[in-house]
Amino acid sequence: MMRILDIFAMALGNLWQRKLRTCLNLLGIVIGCTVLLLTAAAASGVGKAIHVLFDASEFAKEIRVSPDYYSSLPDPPPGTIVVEGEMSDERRERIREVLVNQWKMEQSGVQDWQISLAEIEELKQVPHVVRVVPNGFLDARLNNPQDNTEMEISLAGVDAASRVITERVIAGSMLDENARDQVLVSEVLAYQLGFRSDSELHELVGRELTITYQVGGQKYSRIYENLKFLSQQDGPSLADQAAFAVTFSQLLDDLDKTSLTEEQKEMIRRVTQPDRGNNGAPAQKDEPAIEVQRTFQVCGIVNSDQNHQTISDMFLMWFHGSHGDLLLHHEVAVEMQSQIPERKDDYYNVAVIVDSSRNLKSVTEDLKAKGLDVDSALMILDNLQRGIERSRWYVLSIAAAILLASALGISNTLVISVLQRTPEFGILKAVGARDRDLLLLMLCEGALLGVIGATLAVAVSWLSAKVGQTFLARHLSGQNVADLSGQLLQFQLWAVMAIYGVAVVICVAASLLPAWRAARLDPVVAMRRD
Amino acid sequence: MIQADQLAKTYGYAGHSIPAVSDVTLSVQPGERVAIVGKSGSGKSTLLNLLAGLDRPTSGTLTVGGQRLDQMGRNEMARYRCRHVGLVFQSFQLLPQSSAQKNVELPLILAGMSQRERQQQSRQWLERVGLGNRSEHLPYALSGGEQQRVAIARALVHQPPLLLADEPTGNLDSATARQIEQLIMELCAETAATFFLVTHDEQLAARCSTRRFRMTDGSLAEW
Repeated sequence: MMRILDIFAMALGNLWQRKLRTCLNLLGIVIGCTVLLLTAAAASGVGKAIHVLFDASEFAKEIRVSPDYYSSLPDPPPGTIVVEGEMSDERRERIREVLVNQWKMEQSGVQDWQISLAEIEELKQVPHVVRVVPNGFLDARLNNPQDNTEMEISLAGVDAASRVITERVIAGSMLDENARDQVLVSEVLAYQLGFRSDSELHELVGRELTITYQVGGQKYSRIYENLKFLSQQDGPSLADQAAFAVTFSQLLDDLDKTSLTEEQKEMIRRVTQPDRGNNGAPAQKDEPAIEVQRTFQVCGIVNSDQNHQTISDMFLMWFHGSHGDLLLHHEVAVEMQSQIPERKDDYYNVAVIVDSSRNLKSVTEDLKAKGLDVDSALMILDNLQRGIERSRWYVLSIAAAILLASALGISNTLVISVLQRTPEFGILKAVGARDRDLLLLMLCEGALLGVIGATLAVAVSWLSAKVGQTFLARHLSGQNVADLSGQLLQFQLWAVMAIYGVAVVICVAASLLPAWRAARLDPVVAMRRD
Repeated sequence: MIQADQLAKTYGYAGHSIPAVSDVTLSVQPGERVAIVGKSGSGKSTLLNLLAGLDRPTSGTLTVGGQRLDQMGRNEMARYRCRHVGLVFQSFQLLPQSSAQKNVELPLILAGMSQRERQQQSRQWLERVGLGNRSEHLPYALSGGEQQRVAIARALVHQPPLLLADEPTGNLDSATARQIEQLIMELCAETAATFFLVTHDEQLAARCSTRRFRMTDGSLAEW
């Protein structure tokens, strides 16, 4: 019985002896397999490159978290919200959702919709979360060092590691991670302070700024804030607002005389008088305000970039909440805000920073499971990934068509080869070759074509990738973008193995018919065709 | 060695039956040298193909070395050819892309012999047919006589008990033909193989055989 090793050796010899035919067959296999392999490598690489880009821009590593206003409220009783009329189910559901939320808003009244410091601490424990930056924001008065006058300013907490803020520094440097007494000054405030030319801006860097803020006596601040909001909406006049404040003050004093339930009274006290004494009694309305002074050193000046060129820039500006006149460490902002009793748990949203955009999905799901409302770039990321996935299938289809055409070409060439080699097969049969031997010989030739073709395809793909990466690296050098040259094509071991499998299967399949014809040849007839 | 009883082979062509071998009864003892003489188309090559296991009889029985060829399947026939038969053809039938040595090795490869052993044996046989120094030559680089020597070495390298030759000198000049004829006789005597010669040359048949048959229109008669 013929040994498998001899069959392989004979098959290899046959391929070598018919070099032109072998090369033509290999060409189709190499083209098809190269396209397949590069497609798989690109699909894997582009997916990773997107994460690299997103990670580099911090965009996709940040999740904006706020309380989930609607889902925390009870649903309306069945039958309360009915959307009538002839319309599609999708449209009916959309309208119903909005009406339900409106109903919840109307029914709920004022709710505690802030994130507390305790909840922020919980967020830090979520896996893959590296930092949690609360959107600390407070008002203060700044002593102008030029003329000793005071001016109203706003302070915002920022992440000292934020690349976006770092890129906005136009003089001096970004906040030092460890220097908590540093601040960044917006160029508008610097202008208002009298620092206008570039050299004057550099003069401001290193100077000390003293601010003053109140930590008590703001009992009615929330009411006034609401009134201010109403006045912006064509609400009551200033006289009406003042009258309302007096009336509301009286109402608070006489709250126990009303027919409101204890729960309702507690809710009003909580909303309007968050500054509670140790015994739970309301603080005195005439409690004097305590003014705190704090001195910071200016480390840099930031531009007030309002022209967001990309969606991600816009998101980042929003995420970083960096529109204060003075930007300081977010921990310091939190510390200062915590000194104001009614604002110590008053964070409408926080930025959660994850270690990689790859973990954005899992962290987002964890946060949603905590009943929080979550905004992130996940949807954009998912859309991109889906687009890549679709493109991959298109290109894979083209590669498959090329391979199919190659398979037909190989089959055709092998059929012709069998015809040409008929006398040879006749001789082999005459000296004792069995049907099985010739069948295996032809299939081995096909398999060897597949293995050689796949090996060449791997080599060609790898070389193409190297050349492409070199060009891309040269093109990207000097540009302020992440270097993707080593990322765009990622060859996976499974893909390389799969290419070998696909090539061998296709070539063996293409050899089946010619092999069967060779095996069934009548030796006498075959030898006569000399 | 060979026992044929009422052996017949008929070919079908365009709805007609064409008898090639009719009612052949033959008995050959081991070591005998038999020659069949006949004109072209008389059926002598068909009979040789039947004996070689290359073709299957339409009727009758054929036993070679105790094996019923008429009852064998395709694989058994192939095994029979591989182990029991050596074939020498008029047109040599060498693999054109393989060296002389590879051609000689062929029956040993098909028999599953190890590379080292078969290379050794094939070299010995090439030496025996006088082509020890031409082992790496391709057939086109050899003369007709040399190609036939390679074919003879290939036919005998696996030491078959039956050597079948179909016009082995038909494509050779007379001097070379005599050399080949002598070589075959020497090797047959050496290996004690039963020799079955098919030729139209009565003188060759007379020189190479101990028994002679004449084939006419598919029928065999001893003379």
